[in-house]
Amino acid sequence: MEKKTITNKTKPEVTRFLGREKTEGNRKIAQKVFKIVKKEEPFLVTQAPFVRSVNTVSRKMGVFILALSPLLGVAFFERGSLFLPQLGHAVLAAFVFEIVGSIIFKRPLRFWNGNVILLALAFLFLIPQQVTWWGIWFALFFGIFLGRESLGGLGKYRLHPSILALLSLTIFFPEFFLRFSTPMNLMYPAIPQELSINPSVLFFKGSEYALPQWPICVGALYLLAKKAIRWQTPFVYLASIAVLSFVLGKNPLVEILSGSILLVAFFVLTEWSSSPLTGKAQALYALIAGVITEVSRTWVGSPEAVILGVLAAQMFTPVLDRYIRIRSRA
Amino acid sequence: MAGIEIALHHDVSLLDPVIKTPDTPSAVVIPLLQHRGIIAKPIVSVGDRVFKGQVIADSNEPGALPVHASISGRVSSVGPAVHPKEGIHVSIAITSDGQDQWKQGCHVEQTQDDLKSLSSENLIQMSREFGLCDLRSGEITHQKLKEGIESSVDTLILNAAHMEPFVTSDSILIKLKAVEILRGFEWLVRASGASKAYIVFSERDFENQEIISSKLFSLKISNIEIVQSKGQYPYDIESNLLSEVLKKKVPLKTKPEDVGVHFYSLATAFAFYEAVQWRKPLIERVVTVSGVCVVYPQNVWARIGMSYESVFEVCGGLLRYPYRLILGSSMTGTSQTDLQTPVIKNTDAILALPKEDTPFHESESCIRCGDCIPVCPVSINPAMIVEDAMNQQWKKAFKFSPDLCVECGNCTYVCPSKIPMVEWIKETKNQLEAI
Ligand code: SF4
Ligand code: SF4
Repeated sequence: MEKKTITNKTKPEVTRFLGREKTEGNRKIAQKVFKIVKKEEPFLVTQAPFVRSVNTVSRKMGVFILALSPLLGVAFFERGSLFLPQLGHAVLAAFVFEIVGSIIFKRPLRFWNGNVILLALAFLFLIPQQVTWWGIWFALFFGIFLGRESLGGLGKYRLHPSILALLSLTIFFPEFFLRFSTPMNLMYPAIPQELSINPSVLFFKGSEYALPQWPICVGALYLLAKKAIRWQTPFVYLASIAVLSFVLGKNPLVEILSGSILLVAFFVLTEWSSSPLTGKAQALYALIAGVITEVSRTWVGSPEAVILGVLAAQMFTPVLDRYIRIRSRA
Repeated sequence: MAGIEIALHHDVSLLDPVIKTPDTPSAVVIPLLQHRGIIAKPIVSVGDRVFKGQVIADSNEPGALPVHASISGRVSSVGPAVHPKEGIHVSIAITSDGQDQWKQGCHVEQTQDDLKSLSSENLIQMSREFGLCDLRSGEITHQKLKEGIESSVDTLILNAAHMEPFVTSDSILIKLKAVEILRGFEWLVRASGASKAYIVFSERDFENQEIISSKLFSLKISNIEIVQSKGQYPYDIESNLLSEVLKKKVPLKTKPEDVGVHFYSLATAFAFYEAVQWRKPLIERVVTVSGVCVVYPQNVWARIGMSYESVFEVCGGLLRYPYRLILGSSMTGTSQTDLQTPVIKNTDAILALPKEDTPFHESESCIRCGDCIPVCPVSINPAMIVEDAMNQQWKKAFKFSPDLCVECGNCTYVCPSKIPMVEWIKETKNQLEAI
């Protein structure tokens, strides 16, 4: 909406200007009478409401980045030398592609709102450690430039850019995924046997192949406490995976704690642009994602189970938005 | 019921708990359209001498309401002038003669004997004669009463749960004129022939509820009950109040008259009291003058037709030049352009707000965060309506029931992208009416 201006000829004139100092509930009229100031501009005309909350996009993104910070800290601590260059490249690439995208597609620059940092971080925690810098730039070109900017930027895309970046990496450079020394191990079936017996190791200590999962839970609790995400998406996703794996005769706890299921549940599936709007639709969306993830883990056995699950659910987002109405017209 | 926690800023204008009576204004401009309906014909012409309370426009058509002079003096012009809602509209300007003289027969206190014999028809006739309309929505009172009798409305609800940021004109009336409000409400109940009467308060407004309940007790009024409603802003969603009062679940779409209920606002009850007890036409009302730019924010007995500028002067003038001038509250009000705009019957507040309180926000595109959905009191999905409206897909938008929207402004208030959502939803409603 454009800012409306008004053209009234009669200039509003303020006759009396008295200064008042209000100190700690004391009403004390200042002796000084200000000079009459005439202003040329008319009163601003917009529609109600005239006050807005302090809620802004960057503030909301900040909550997410703060929630990821325990995981970042653990990643630094555990494998700093490998992790730092990846982090630098991912954030730089995300910024560059967003800025280039905004310029090419003639949109106002909004890179400071932190959305691309969040996407870059989500991507970073999903890839194996040995992905090289050009691999990251290549993947983020797909994810951020093609998957986000060319579709119209924040709010317009319906598939998660980080997942798209990951997908491009698995398609074009499958060799990165052959060994499993990854910050967040995505390759589920390749989990060493002794770890799968004891889920608490996965949770607290992590392994050679995967970071521990507790920092994600800390971040998730923060997100839920801040009401930054609804409970529907993560819990339905986790519950559907747990139930399905139990039915299929696996250990549900190991199933959830291995791979990047927790990260996806709290930080990827809850991404706003690509998830449905209402709680009901989000529950259905998470159910689709969970079922497809678990099914493809079991039968396809592919390392991209999570990718499949997320992308398949996000295909349904527009449909869910349109047909799961909170209230239908009588 | 969903809503938001909102700062009410009522203390700003309640620091001085009085209703200030200003000096007689030197001139007034009385618009003929002050209610919901059609305008009456002016029956005075330029140069005529009029008294306070004299009818200056009248018509026998159903949607018309007589208009009264609010000061005594001479008619200085009849013609177009600024109107708070319509831009420019027909108005009658009167210059004061300084005497402020009532018309014969107006403003005379009635004795108990006079009042005992009043029947329902008399009261309804009176409310027309004294130009009563709802002091918030502008519905014509005598028509509403008549419709109530025809459609056998048997319950009246006095809506004291209506609380908006900055607006204290109802609250101050309860604090200072509680007995009058209750008497007025009793008259309204008698006029409508209803058998049950309730006053609803929001649970946030406990202080005023205590005042009314103590008055009910000391006046030994037993046929009026107090009901407390729960929920956050907006506090007076009708279906919510109805379910509290009727103690059963009322669907959102129900109109009050479908379940035999009519709502009246506090200020209307007070105006009805004055009309019946004092034979006083509706020529003044309580207006809250508030906002950081006003020297003494307080409530004022403003004559109908007083300009905003003179109302501000009653409150000590303006501390500095306001960035916005608002009629009504900061959540649901209307922007005003001119300080010469007159006060009309449903002007409940005038706010002069500076830039730091109400900055202009550039809107960005929707990030689909869904924040607007849990705050909507009528549980619709404003984000989808706005998305479709921005693409001009009015038919698709209609599927999300924009007609239920009460234009409370919650969705716009919380939106992190600062999208003017209420504007889009109103536009959708207009488009659908056009189809
Ligand atoms: S303005 Fe309408 S859509 Fe927005 S929150 Fe209020 S009722 Fe809901
Ligand atoms: S609050 Fe604003 S940005 Fe968020 S979904 Fe609603 S309209 Fe979109």
